[in-house]
Amino acid sequence: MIRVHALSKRFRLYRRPTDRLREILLRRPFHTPHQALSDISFQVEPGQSLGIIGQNGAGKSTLLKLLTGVLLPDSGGIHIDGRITGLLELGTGFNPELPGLDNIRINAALLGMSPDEVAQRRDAIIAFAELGEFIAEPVKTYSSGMLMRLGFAIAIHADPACFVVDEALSVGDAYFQQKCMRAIQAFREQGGSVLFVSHDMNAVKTLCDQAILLDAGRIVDAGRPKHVVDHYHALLLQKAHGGDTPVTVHRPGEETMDTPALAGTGEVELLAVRIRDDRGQTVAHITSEQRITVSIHLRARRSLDDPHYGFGLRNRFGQSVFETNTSCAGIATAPLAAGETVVIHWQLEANLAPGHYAITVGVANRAHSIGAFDETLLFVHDAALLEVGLNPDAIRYDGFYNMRPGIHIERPEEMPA
Amino acid sequence: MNLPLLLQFTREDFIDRYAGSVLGGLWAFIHPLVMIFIFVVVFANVMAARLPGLESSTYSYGIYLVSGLLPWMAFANTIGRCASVFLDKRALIGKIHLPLAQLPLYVVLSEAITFVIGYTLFLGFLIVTGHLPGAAMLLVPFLFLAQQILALGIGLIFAVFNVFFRDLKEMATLLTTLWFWFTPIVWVLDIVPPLVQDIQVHLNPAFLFVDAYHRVMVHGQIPEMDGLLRLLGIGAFVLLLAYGLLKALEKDIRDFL
Repeated sequence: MIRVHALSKRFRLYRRPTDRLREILLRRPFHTPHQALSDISFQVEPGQSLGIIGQNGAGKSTLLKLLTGVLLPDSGGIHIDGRITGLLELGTGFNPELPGLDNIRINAALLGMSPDEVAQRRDAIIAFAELGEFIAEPVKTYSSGMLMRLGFAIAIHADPACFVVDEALSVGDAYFQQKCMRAIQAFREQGGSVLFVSHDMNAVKTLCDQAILLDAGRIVDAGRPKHVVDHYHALLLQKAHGGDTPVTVHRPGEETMDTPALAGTGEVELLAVRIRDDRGQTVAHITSEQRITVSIHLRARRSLDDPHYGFGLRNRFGQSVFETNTSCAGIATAPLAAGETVVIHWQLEANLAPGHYAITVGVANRAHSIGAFDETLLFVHDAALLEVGLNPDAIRYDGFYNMRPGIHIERPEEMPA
Repeated sequence: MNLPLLLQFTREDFIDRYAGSVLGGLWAFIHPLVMIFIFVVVFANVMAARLPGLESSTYSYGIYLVSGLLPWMAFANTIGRCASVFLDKRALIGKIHLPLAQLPLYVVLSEAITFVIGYTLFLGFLIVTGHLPGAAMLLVPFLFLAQQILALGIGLIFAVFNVFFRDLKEMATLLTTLWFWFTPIVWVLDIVPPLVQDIQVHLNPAFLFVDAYHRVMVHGQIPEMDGLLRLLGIGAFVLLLAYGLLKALEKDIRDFL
């Protein structure tokens, strides 16, 4: 359980550390203030996980430092029932000359574990880290992934009330990341709270119950991760334009999916999105494996010399199932004059697992490399909805899509040696 | 800060510091041993130094020197190392919550261990040469405690300001060096004019404990109690002042590190 109430933090930036002394002595300010966080309030219940997203410099690290007690707030309160650990202390206090075993003792003491607790959990930590014989080697011989394994193993065994997961997790290999995720899941089931700080938006959407979006030290959005992530993308779009064009963000209600989350400069208008089956019938419900055509009708309000059009499909968790654009697909496009309309037809094979999907539409101008653009003009999530039903003629499968397996079973004449 | 963590830092200071070296923790014994050897043997035999005004044996000046020097080294090292403790541990302070006021305690503890090692070797030397003082020796732990309270207080004040003004660490070293020569450790109080003697007695808190060690170890006397009480009073005052300063500036210190 974490409760944060009206938290604010202002840094005073000094050109030289001695300016702080001059300030004390001369009683005159010698600093420029920087409001790192303003009026931050949130609550994470036991067993819940909160995603914290925002651009670099939005205040995420400052918030974590305040939560861990490394920095002191100017105002507001923080309440955590117990210890807060995480990967942010990754390798903190590791003595490179000492073997992994001794560093377990050192690191665990820093996290506040008593020698008895360390002795009890030592074997569990060693087993979790799976470092094999390296556990007895000096940690200076470890790779960053191995350090992360040891650091994570200690942190999750430190019996925290709150666990912070950040980008350091991505240092681990896929196997260990999965193992970490299972450990975090088990930790939540035992009533632990998780703070998830990441730029991996798909991970935020799948792992978090709630999310907050920080921008310039303020919570600009809070709620269901999918919506908050959409808002974040919209914010990025706005920043990409240098903030000179106003970006409208329309957020749908928490439960409905019928109004699109729209972000754009207004220079390109989305007129319509139509989904048709192979007989040309407009549909909103198809069966798996069916061929469909998605037609996107757009009007340009200003001329675009090198327009490119994007298409994406997201599942009900907001995870991207498929996305591409004309630049990525290597399709040449003609310039658009102001006021001109254009229709892009995407012919697709919908060999998707049954479920609800939403279509994302994007328009950008001037590709400077494949899939990267100078200007993004329109980005609409949930522009149209598509329901995919079970196809009784196809194989049954689970996951994201039908890989159309060819299955061949052989009974070899001789057993291989 | 919990006790295991304090012990952890102290241990790091002592054993882990020597990790990877062959002799390891033995170095903690070798340094004071060599120092005692140099001062006692070299000063006593080679330079044939004698204490004035005391019918003295070959070793009495060496004993005078070492009995004051070992506590002084603990005192000066405590100040010097406390002065940079926040910067030395900044990587940790920036990652996990450490109570700043208690952090320098590990320096005090580690200097205490160094002192115990040094004084044990010194006592061994006194037993061998038959110069062991009487029961007054039992006061040494109390003297040490009193001097270290003052050292921690001074060190903590330096530590607070050193975060904003790095030159202070060097200034602390300079201060302790000057203070060392100003205090009668190498020289004897009787050889200076009465005015300087008065200054020592009334204005130099280091004189209060150095003199007490001399009385105990060289002369086997009980030191003057009102001097020691004065030392405790000054130490407590400085430590409280340091603590107040730290609390007032803790937010800034954390922001700066």
